[in-house]
Amino acid sequence: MRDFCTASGAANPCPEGCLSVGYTFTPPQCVERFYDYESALISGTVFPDLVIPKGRYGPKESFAV
Amino acid sequence: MNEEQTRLMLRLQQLGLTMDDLREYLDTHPDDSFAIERFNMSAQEYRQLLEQLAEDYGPLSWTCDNSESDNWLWAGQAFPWTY
Repeated sequence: MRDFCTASGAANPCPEGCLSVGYTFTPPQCVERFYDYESALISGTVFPDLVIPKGRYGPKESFAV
Repeated sequence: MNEEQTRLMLRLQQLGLTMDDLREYLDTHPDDSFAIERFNMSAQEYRQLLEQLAEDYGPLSWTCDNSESDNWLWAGQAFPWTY
């Protein structure tokens, strides 16, 4: 079987020593409540649990870039 | 756009956002009956509203019903951005 990395014309996406790919673990979340239609459009989502505005994480959360 | 039309258009947007968000959720949770029920409720009202807007103010989409008219209503009205 041809080794993909040495196949002619195949660009190797990663230079030597690049970081490995990260895997996320996202547990399936079942929803128990929805916003009403008006609130959903205002918040940009129908799921209240996704709306975590600044200050909701906790006093120490920082958004400094 | 008069006040009633503006109100109906806003309601349509509200329903549209809810349906969009639920569609993405249902793609990964196809068995969630709670979400399906919510989607079906929204979709039904969305269709009714679309028909009502088409009847009262003209079609919002070229796929709206044109059977009541001998003219091609879609092209016969002002485009939404020319209000």
